[in-house]
Amino acid sequence: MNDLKRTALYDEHAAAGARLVPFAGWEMPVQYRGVIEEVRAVREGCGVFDVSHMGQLDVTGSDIATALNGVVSADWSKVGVGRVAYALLLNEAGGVIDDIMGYRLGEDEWMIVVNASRAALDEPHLQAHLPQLSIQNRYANQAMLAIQGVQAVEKLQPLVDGLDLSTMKWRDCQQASLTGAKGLLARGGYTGCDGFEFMFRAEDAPQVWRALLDNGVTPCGLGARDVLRLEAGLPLYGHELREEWTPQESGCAWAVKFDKGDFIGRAALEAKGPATQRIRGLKVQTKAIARDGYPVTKNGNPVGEVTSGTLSPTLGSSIALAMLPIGLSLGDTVEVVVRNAAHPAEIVQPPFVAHGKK
Amino acid sequence: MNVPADLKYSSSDEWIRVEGDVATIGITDYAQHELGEVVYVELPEVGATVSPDVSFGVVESVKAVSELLSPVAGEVIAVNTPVSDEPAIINDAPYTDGWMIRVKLSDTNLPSDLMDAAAYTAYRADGGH
Repeated sequence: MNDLKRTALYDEHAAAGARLVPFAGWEMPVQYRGVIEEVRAVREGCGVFDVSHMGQLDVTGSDIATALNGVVSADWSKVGVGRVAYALLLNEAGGVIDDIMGYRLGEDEWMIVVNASRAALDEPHLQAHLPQLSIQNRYANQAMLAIQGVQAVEKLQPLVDGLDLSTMKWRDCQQASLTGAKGLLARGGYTGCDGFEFMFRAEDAPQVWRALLDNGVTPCGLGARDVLRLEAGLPLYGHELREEWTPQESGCAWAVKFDKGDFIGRAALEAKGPATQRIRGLKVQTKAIARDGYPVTKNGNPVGEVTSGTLSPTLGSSIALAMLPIGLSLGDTVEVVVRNAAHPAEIVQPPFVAHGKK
Repeated sequence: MNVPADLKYSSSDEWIRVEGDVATIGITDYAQHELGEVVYVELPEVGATVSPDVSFGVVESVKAVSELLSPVAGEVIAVNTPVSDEPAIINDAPYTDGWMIRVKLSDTNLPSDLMDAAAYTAYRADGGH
């Protein structure tokens, strides 16, 4: 594990009893006390995730929104200063390179957060297609925390200097100070719950982390994060999002805007006919747990494959996302094949767990 | 790590208790701890045959699937069905209420690679080498 990078919170994770595993080149906490307990902490209280492994890119330059609009699928020209937006990076064939978040910090200043597993591809892709912009990564000295849960506001508020969190709307972002540590605070997250993200200097990370834990926030690992995003029906790169699948196939057509100028992948998407397959939600009718790669059949005939699956601790049942033929409809029953046994599953519309706000 | 002295252990973290020609099999405290909260268990039917190092079932946590390997050959004569309904028993009591199957041994001479408690403790302390 010598080649793995560590976040500024490595010692804090060890102190909190984390089980550390390799993830996208980083040594990251997969869980502390247990995945189920950490999922419950977010759904009923508040949890904090160290997501410092995610790539943070500072992007500056004149007419930046127009330039970015040529490489992202969404219409970022409509994103105001102090707002956050989701988008896909597409390749020329219309396949998904990554899904990213853009934070508009100023008229000519953005920050882009990318998946750790794709950062090494995203940065050169953006550099190559946006030579007129300055693109700097902050990997060396940056931390990022996701503070998530129905009690996120009340658990975070006491740490914030001079800002009423209730004034921040979903997907607002602004400069803020937590226990004196300055950084960018955004309301949002990847758990299907209320929450905030804070991006700040690595050297301040242990102090903010400890203040959160001291205020009753539960440390949560990547295991709980994956379960929470799956309960919320949110896609994960490498599972629902892949370079060989279009946004339509991945169930992210909503993140592609054709009523704007040209962007990478547009021509290929327009040239393609309607998608013949797409990601769907599955509720498995037995206790068997569907896992990534398990076959899906319809009346015994192979029709697709599970892309993510877990036991939902919140629902107490087995849920999954799967790539299925477009002809199958909501309410249809298919079978997930678990170790050669077919388990019936109903096609449902995610989210599996409704968005949790207090 | 709890390692009772009266049991034998496999390198894949199952324990076995032999009484006459009947063996009771479960997973060790180390295994349940590594796996985390067990949420699903799949066990064979009574009458099934098991063989050394062949999967006879699985235990799953939210994030992981772990095969159950029989340390011995024989016929399944009892299955602990309560753990299927309440898998957390395996975390709470891996050596007692969390047992999984009872097997009528086809050979009462146990495989030589089974470890006693001291050897298993050393094996796990050494990271499974």
